[in-house]
Amino acid sequence: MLIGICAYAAVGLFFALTVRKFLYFAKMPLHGRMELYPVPGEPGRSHGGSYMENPEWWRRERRTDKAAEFSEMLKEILLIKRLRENSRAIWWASYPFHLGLYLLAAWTVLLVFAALTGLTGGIVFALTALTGYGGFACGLLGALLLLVRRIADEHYRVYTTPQEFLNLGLLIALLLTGLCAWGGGFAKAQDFMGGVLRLQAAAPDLMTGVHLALLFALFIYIPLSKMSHYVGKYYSFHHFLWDNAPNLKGTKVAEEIARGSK
Amino acid sequence: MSLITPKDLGKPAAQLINYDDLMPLSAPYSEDKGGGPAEVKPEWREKYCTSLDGCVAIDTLRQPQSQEEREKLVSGFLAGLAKLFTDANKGVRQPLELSFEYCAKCNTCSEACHIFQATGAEPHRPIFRAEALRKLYRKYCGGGGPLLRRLTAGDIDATWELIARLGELAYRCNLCRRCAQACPLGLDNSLFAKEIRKIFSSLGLAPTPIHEKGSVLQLKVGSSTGIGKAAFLDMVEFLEEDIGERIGRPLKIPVDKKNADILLYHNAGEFVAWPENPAAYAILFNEGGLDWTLSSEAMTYDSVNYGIWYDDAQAKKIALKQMEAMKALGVRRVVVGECGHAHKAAAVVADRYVKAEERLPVESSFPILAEIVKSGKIRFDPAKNPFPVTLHDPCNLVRQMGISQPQRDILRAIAPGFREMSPCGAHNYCCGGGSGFAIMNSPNFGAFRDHVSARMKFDQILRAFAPEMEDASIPKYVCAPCSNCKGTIREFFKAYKATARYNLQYGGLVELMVNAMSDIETPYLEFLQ
Ligand code: SF4
Ligand code: SF4
Repeated sequence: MLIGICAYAAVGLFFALTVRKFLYFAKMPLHGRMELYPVPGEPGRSHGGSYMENPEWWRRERRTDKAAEFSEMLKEILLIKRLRENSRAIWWASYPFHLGLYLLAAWTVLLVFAALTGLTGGIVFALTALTGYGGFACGLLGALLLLVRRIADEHYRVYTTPQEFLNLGLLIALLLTGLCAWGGGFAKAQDFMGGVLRLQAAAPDLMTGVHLALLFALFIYIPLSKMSHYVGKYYSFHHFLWDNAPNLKGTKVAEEIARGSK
Repeated sequence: MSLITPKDLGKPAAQLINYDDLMPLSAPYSEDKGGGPAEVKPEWREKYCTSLDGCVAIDTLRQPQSQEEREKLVSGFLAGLAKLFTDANKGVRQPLELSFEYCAKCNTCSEACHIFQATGAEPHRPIFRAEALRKLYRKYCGGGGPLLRRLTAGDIDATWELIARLGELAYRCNLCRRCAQACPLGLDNSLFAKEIRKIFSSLGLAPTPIHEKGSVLQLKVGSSTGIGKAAFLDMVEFLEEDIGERIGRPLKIPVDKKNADILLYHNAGEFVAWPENPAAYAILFNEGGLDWTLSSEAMTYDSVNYGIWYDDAQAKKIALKQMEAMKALGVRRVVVGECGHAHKAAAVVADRYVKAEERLPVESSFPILAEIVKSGKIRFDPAKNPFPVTLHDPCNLVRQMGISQPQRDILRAIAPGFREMSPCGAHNYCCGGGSGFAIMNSPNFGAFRDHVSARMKFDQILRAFAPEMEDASIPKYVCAPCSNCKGTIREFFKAYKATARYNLQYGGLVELMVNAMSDIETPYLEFLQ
């Protein structure tokens, strides 16, 4: 019961604190325009152009391409595109790490699915094994590579704060303990998830207990720390680099300025 | 040699870095190793802060004569730092806080920075000054106990030396924002350089050419050139005569025309340094049938706004005065000439300063020029521009406004020898003169610009002209449609004797256009005359 309550509380806090972070940035006053091209929402201007390439641009209807913006963001989230293009060596560490986290998110969803439906075998089990082993392996490999690079290369080491080392250390510990706790076969994880969801989880063994304690703590710590860059990244792209909305009568920006938030 | 860290900014040393092993240049300058700003006179060391790299950007920052003066700089800086994330700084607060909080220290931005690439010097790594600022903030303004300070590396001592060097270091970044394009988290390290400049400016410490002889003069006289109305009108008259003679037909430049459609807004420096540029605009706008005018009223014949480089309050003051004066003219729209930072200041930075209905629409002249070419209203003969041409992309205009295609459409129509630099467009490198460097010369800052910050641009130019480079009989034209970029290119061409030795030429876009006009017989470009 206690574990179930802790799990619900940790996940609840994760989402609540993440929302709080979103609101924190959302409530900030409208900043000056500081767009940086290429802006993907500019239709037909993949060369890095803008609506200002038209004479009397303010007399034309302004079109934005939300789909292009979304697809650019998706590439950034799923492929870590900018890092891949501009710093391939780091990408080889960062990408498996992030891929590992995505796979583990999928693994968790599969565990919940199995617990709710009772469908634990067949394709569900295969997918659970794939995402679970893949997630732990990629995540660990990436996190270790990142840590080694940070320690071995002084151009990284001198800029890394103790807290940033700690963050990486915590993630590695989480993944390692997770692999030890569940890696023997994911049937145990499926069972355990069922228990957690019904608030009837059995007392865990030591390794599982340590892993769960770390997991719950990280659920709360991540949105409070710079590991919440999933929030930051949304704002830095959508509300900073890609915000080229002009202050024209009748627009949202004009309304905000009229309200005196600038 | 051990790596220089942000903490080392406070280290007692006569000079932290030097530039004797710079990025190699392409042929025919491959032997050049730099050497950078060679001369640091002993009296400069006594007077200014030369202990970063021997160069002096903030000539108003003097060596302290007493403990009190030392403390004044430190406490003033820390007081400014404490206001970083308050609504007093609301125009930049959100991007600044994002960049402050979320840097992953992945160093991706380092590869994108031309100054770091040119020098390999650790303090020029884009995150270096950001990290120094983070450490200072966490130690002195961040709250929390000693454990939190340790965890977040708030471990830097604010000494006079450290703050002074940090101030100088803020003027070793062109604010070109190329690093932000590369950042996987969308963060912008130039913001920190700008914030440091802002704090220094609030303490009365800014380079004389951009503050005292720039913003202050502009607010007082109406132009940073110091030119008043009468002198401006004289210059226009002289231009009409001189250029009229040169092109063999009368040239009329409308000034203060009532209710004109367009106010053409130039960087007044053009009239002084490159009068053929505003004259070329006049020829093209007249022949293109546009209803336009220049204005002789204060603030309306000089589009510059140096405030955007170092002080938001100055920038806003200038932009609002400019806008007010322009509205009084009765024109319908403002069209900016060949000046990148003026484009950004008037069209983008000032865009959210006042309510929409209080602003005149501002646009770039390049789309209008491209339309003139496309419309066929003027006949161009590209054969008149038979030499190689490459195009520089001013950061403010291209990376930060997304205006890059019109210039290219024009060049493809009038210059058969046009070839792109690499990289080009929104990813092009800064000329090395961005954010004020173009006009900062004394006591020895010009040497930093010419040899260090402009190094990458010079190399791009050499590469673009590689096939013809060593043939001095062929003029090679760098089209740089921006006053500050032109000024920078002029200076580093001089420093490398590039025109004398290899016939490298530079100029704007409109000069090249007029040179290609079918019905003007004499070449418009001076080097062809
Ligand atoms: S690229 Fe971005 S995240 Fe990486 S070090 Fe530079 S500013 Fe930080
Ligand atoms: S803004 Fe430009 S000069 Fe400054 S750190 Fe970034 S890339 Fe380098």
